[in-house]
Amino acid sequence: MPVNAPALTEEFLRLLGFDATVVAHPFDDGLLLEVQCEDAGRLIGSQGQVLGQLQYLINRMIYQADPDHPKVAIDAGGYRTKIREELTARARAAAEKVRRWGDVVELEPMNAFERYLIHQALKDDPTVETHSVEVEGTSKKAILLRPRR
Amino acid sequence: MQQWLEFAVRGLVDRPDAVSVTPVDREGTMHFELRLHPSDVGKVIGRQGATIQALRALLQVGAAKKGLRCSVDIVEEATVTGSR
Repeated sequence: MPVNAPALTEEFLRLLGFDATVVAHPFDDGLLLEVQCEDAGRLIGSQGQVLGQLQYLINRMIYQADPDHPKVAIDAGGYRTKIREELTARARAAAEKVRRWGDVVELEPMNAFERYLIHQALKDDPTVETHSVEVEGTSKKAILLRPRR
Repeated sequence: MQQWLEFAVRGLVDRPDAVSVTPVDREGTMHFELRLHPSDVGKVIGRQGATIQALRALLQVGAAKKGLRCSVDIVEEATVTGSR
């Protein structure tokens, strides 16, 4: 059954009490759903946790209706764009430290999306390599940067 | 909130016809009892509880916006398996 992802998300949010407009943009191989509403902060949550859970649920619902539909990314209030810029800057700063001192640098534990952004920011850097390591007691992992041999 | 919960859960399962949500007032908290087709229970719980956790988190967000307190549990009817 075909599914209209922006309409599904709007209905989901309307029933939840959020009067939102959802605009779809092509993004990588999939779709970015941009949620525009007054109370975006509530939908983002602390450290983007609610936004991640919203994205997870919407993807489950889309998959249930149409397993061939591409996965969607959801943004609200420009949060993902802001995080992307912040994390890219942090990744570059950490890489600079590795280059200068030749030491291993460990970043704080991050969720999968945040780690993806760090790996992406440094994947073409010839001087450093990145690895994720488990952190006890959380589902997050920390990224280690070390000089590339 | 009940309408939202029904909409979300029906969108997650193979047997939306078997989904029922019963509100129970528990001292100011609106508690929802969620009943599902037995084969859909795993889907709504999700891997390591990810789906039910996400449902609960969004329920909190919607309830907070409306100034309510809400909670949800999946109610599994006792099934007779014949052995114990």
